[in-house]
Amino acid sequence: MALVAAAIILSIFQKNARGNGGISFIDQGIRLACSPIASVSSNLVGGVQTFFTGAIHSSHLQDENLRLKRELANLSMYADTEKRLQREVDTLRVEMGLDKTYGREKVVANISGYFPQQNRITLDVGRNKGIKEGMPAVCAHGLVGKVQTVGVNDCQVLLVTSAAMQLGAIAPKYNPPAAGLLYGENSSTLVMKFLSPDVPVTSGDIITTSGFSTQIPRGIVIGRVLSAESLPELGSSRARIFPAVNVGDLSVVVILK
Amino acid sequence: MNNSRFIFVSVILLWVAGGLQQGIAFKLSVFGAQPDYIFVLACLLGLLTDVRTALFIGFAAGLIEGAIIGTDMWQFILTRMLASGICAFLVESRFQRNYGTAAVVTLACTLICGIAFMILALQPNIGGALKATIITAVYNAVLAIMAYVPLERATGVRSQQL
Repeated sequence: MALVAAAIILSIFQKNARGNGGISFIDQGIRLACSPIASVSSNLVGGVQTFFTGAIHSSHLQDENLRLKRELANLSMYADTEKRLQREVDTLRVEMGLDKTYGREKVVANISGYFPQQNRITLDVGRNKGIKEGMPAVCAHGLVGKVQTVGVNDCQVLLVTSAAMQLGAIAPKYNPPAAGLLYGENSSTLVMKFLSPDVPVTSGDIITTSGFSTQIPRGIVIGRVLSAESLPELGSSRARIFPAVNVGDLSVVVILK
Repeated sequence: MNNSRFIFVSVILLWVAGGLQQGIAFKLSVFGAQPDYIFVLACLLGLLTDVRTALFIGFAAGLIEGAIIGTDMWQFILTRMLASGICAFLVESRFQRNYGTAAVVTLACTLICGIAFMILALQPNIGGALKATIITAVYNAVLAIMAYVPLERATGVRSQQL
């Protein structure tokens, strides 16, 4: 009984710390104690995996390397133009008094743990890099999730597929964009609720973040509509969304500060 | 059985298992399910000790796992205590202790505790979680077969005849 009581007390500590965007000292201590083993084993397994992947796919990787070098050479020609245009956009946004939503500082973070059942990932950056609760984590394909707890050297991100995650989203294809509230249903589906029964979204529409928040900028891709249904008796409609990001394929994400 | 040796080895192994769970479990996932090193260790150590010590080992295992994952702390602690306690109880009830028993008991405990965890943590996607639990159970059973004999030697506990 004493152990059960201790478990409940520890759980309360953990929940309170998470509610404040932090990590309880017990969690932090245990993670720090385990991190040397985690780091060594991760490097070891990563090295072995890279070696075998390289050995098996060597010819394919050589071709890919050549192709990427060519693409890089082509892209570098446009880099100056892109920088000039970005400066112009930033200047115009400042002149128009708009928030500088896209000019955010980016922090690259490695995924050091993935817990699919809990819809969480652990990243190797924390308060030491200026990470705060609520910052969005993104990758090239779109939104990964939102920082929920921050430690000194690590943080945890709640994935968009979590049922505990609620997020404002829009279908930007329409004018005005169809806006709704999005939350996770399971690891491969999200649900978006609209407060109107006659929203025009259809299968294949892209869903992005709404930007109705100070921390998550507008326009980050979340996923595509799988199906949509009108619920006139409830005065609403609902769409099922296939997430753009497959977290299992990622090893690095970017946090927008 | 040398109790202080058993406790010392248990603490070291739980620390190592925590590191492995934090560092490589997600890199070694099969069909989306990860091995659960801490759980396997809790079951195996439970097989090698009495119920009272097993409950403490389960508590420590759940504490480490809950801290690493960062959520559902009491659910992890209760299910790991349950698993370790069941293992110890089975051995005290004159079940033979060997690597075959270790595999079967680890598989069964992973399933039981996985389902208990789903209920306690109110997981929304029961189907997906159940599938992952079944794959993890098989994965854990294979790990239990491989780890049982080295663990028995490390803790100095003698196996019973098949």
